Amino acid sequence: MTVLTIDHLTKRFGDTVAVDDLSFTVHPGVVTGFLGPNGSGKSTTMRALLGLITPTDGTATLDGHRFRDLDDPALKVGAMLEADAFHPGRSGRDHLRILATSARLSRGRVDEVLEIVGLTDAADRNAGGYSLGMRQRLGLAAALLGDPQVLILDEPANGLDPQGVRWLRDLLRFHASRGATVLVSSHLLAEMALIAEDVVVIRDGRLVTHDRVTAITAAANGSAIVVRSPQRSELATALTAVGADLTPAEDDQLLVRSIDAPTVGRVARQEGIELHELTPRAASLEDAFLELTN
Amino acid sequence: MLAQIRSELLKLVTVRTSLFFALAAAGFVALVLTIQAATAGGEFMGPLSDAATQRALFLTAGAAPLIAIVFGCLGVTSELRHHTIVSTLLVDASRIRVITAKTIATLLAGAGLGAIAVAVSIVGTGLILLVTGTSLSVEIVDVVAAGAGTIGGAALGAVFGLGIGGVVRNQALAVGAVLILMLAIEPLVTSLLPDVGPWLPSALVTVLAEAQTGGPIGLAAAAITLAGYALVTTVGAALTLQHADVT
Repeated sequence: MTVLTIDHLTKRFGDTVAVDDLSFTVHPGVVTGFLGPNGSGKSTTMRALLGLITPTDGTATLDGHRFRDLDDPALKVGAMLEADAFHPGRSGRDHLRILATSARLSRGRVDEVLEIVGLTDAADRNAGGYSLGMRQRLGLAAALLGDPQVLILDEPANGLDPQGVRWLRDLLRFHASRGATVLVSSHLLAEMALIAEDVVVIRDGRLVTHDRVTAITAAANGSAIVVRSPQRSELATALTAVGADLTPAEDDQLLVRSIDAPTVGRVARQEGIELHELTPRAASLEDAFLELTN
Repeated sequence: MLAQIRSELLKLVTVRTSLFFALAAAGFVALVLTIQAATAGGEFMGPLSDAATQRALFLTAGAAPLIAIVFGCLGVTSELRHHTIVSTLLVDASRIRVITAKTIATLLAGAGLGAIAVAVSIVGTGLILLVTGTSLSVEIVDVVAAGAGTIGGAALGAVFGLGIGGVVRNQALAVGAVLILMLAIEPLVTSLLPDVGPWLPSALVTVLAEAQTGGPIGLAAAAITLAGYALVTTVGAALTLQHADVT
């Protein structure tokens, strides 16, 4: 059970501040989504966590240890940062064999991860000829080689077909269910809403929010209770009296915010108002993301 | 450390670049050997029966260390160019261990490149002497010394190239720097400062590969100085990698 801790992390590249006093914690057992607009500092944060860049200030640690101090990192942390990190003239199998050899893992493990990611048939072809989806799978195979307790994946769903995206979702959830710590960045917000339980949102290198996906979408402006009634004006008056924010919508609809659905139902019953619809509607993660980052 | 060295060697043998360099070294030696044999007894070469001519045939492998310098340079810059350094550092977080393993693997590969060139020169020269019915007149010990010098020079040359590549990092710039050093700067320095010229890498490689004993620098001094160049550039590469952000 490994906890990832980003503590007041700052990284400057010359005059550019890529990450600015960022702090958050990623816990095991859940998939944590890492969201932010392009250039918001997600990849820099992940690279700092993986010891590839040196923070200007602050720390990025795994159970209190810097990645660069780990003895057998491949057995503890699996990471995929870019889909093209392989020699185009080398086969996928050889790419994995090289990593497995360095990590003192068996050839059999290479065959296993190739099977897991569905690349067995293409394993002996040069990786330079792989499609984007196949390259992503090769990167994932490399991340899975050491059967690690931590997965850190930067845009792993890019280029995957719908079956691949579903496979990835199941894979990440499976690892999280085994107690692994999973941090995943993605631009595919609809997909992230299905995969992640927690979400960290950053913008301009700073933390915007870190919460459950359900909490973030519920708090977004797009969330509302859709109420339809032939007595819309009476209902509006009654709901306003209990503190609801109302937005008239098409036909007999009202969009109700600031109070919950049971309260709407109770007020309607007390006032003898007939309801034809009472539907809580959560904002999408995309709505919430755009609201948080714009 | 053994696992990392094996991994680095695997990197070298699983791409065509290494095969290309091996074939280039062998082909270059075979070509020069053929030209020299064809011109033996003419205006520029003595007859094949001369010990000096036979020695020149065996010394055709002397180009291998220079090829090895470029090979070593490409080996490390290829890793940076294709971003495989990222996966390397994700598997082994110790950058010093990574560069050490890379250095040892490159040393072995450079020696292998030198050995291929030496083998081609020995086999080729032997065939030429056999076909022409010429008896061996060169001292065997002289051939062995030159062969060992070529192999050692290629090993150190490859590491020297790795060091330059590790410091410069950009593949095109690094290979360009190596070629400019060998083809322009060293000849220029040698012509302007004759006392310094023999201490430059290409000249040292030549001393080793030709087992020169009568020049201003002895074999041991040449080997130690070339090893010094390789060490300095490799330490530079290690320091660069140790402090560099891998983005």
